[in-house]
Amino acid sequence: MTDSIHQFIARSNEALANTQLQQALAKARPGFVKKRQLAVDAVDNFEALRDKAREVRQRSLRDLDIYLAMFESNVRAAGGEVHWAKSTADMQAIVVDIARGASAKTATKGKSMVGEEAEINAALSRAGVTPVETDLGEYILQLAEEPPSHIVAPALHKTRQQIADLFSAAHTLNPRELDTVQAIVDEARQVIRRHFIDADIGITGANILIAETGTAVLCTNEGNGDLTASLPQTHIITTSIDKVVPTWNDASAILRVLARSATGQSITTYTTFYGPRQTYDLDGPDNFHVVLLDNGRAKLLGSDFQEMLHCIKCGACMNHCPVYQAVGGHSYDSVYPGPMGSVLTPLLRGEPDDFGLSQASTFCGRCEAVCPVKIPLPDLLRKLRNVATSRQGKGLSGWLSTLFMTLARYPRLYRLTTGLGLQLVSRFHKKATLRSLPGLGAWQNYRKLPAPQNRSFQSQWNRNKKNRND
Amino acid sequence: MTETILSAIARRLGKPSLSDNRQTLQTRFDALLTTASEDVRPARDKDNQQWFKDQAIANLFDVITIADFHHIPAALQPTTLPIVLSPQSRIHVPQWREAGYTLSNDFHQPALGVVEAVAGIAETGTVVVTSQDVPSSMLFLCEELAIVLSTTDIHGYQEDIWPQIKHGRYRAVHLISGPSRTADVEQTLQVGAHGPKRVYLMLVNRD
Repeated sequence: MTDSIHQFIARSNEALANTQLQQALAKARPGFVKKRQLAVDAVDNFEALRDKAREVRQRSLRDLDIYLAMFESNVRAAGGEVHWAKSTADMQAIVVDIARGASAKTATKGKSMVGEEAEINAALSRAGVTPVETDLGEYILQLAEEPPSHIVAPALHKTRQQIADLFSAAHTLNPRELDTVQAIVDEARQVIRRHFIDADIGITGANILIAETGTAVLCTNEGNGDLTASLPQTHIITTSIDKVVPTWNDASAILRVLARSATGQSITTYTTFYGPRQTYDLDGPDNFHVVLLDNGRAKLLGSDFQEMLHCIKCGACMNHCPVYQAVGGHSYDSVYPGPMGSVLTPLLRGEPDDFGLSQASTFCGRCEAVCPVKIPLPDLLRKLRNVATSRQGKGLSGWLSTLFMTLARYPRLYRLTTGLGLQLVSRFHKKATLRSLPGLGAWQNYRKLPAPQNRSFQSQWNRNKKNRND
Repeated sequence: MTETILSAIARRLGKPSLSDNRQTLQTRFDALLTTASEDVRPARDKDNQQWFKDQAIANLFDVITIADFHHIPAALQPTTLPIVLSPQSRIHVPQWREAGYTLSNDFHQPALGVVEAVAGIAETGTVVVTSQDVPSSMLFLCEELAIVLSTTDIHGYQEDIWPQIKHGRYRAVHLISGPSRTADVEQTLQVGAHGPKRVYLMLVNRD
């Protein structure tokens, strides 16, 4: 076990003891899984749709340079701007620069995980621009001053009562009851509406970029993304270099598996294809900017981890992960939690603690089984464990594994050592179970290990075989 | 900066850096399109119109079938909301005033917007509206929305309409699949988040 996993374990222990978090997770747990399964069962060829989506992602990455160049060329030809951000600091600087150019005082924001990754809100605030999150989940978290805990449902960890308390404290409205989901949603609609209308700039993410026409696809259910993208004078899209696909047909292949995997819908309520405003458009921003973030993604190309760039950010892996379901997203201390986050965080952020996230897995394989683009997440986690081991040394478990591997290569030595060990244990330990063994303290908090009998299976087999032959 | 990231990508992919020539880029892009495998779509087990209608109802559209554009005002549930019509001529019928509706141009105030879609997609019960036919903000600011669609414009799959849409140079192509909704509070579905709380889908049967 590497040292860096200890941070995750400490946060997980806090999460497991947090009653409100456990209540919220218990409510979310069955919903996502059931809704996805119903959506999958509603089509007769979901496996073929997954294979097609995977093929699109593979093909997109194979010639990523050409598709990004085409995307940029087509956006520019239509009157928009494309900006390249090597780091999150670059993305912050670019967004702030555009905001200053627009003399912006306020910015509405749709949900953008890349925007979260780059901490755009903090950068805007420092520059004197007030950001207002408009996705309900993100708005709740802005009031709570907390990061998201899920990439699709960012406020999944909040109970209804916690949300009602946040609204009561933040909104100067007449006394009212906030005891139903409808009352909470209606209040958010009322409060955020004026921000949509007043905002100087609107910042959204993008789910897909299409090279052939320089188009950005945005999927939402609330309509906040479209209001953010349509009402202000400037629309900025914060996204990453891996989101591009060649054609509209390729985008369809991704859309077919995205919503089914994320929320159990065949398509999100609003799926909009955006570009720069043209002469005959009836409204919309005059300025259209796409900011493309690298932040470590390019270096994954051609590496053992290239397939992680297939990810379409649906959240299915975390919805089906027994570890995520138990401890929630904040335990991962990253914008990207769950299995995909355990792979992506060390690769993109790469802080020493991040590599321990590869231990946050039971290797049950459900993440890979539900991934709409068939990313071999357990395999990538295993590779990251190797990286973590080579970075931090083997530790006790590593040395024990090496010892076992050495013994296993020499059957006679193995039999001799295990035989001696069994005799020793059975001589000094008379109970049926072992309650504490060195190095297995935490594991044995919840489990009993049966005490070994004084003979091994092989020696008993050989003796019985001899008896049978007699 | 462009060169830096794109060059790094090319290097990682084991390729030489791209030239700046647009024509060369287009040629290489076009050549790559031939490497795509066949599209894969969910199977269709009924005709497009029935499929579209079933999916639209599942998306929580209020589906109403009418014989002609003149019947739109009478087919709506009575409402006190003022009516805002998009600038599409077929929905500007005299029956609005005859039915006693108040017509308005202000969809920033609570209103029922009436717009016409250019296409329907049966696969997902989706209607398609472009930013050159309808102001995008109207689609999302109206309290309620009536989207009118001729049944002859219903297609099976997204790919069926892309050829007519993708080179249209629209700022926005909106695929709308029901009223606005959220499940951000305890994963409970609540209709009417930031966009319209109710969406009529008025199918004008042209068969």
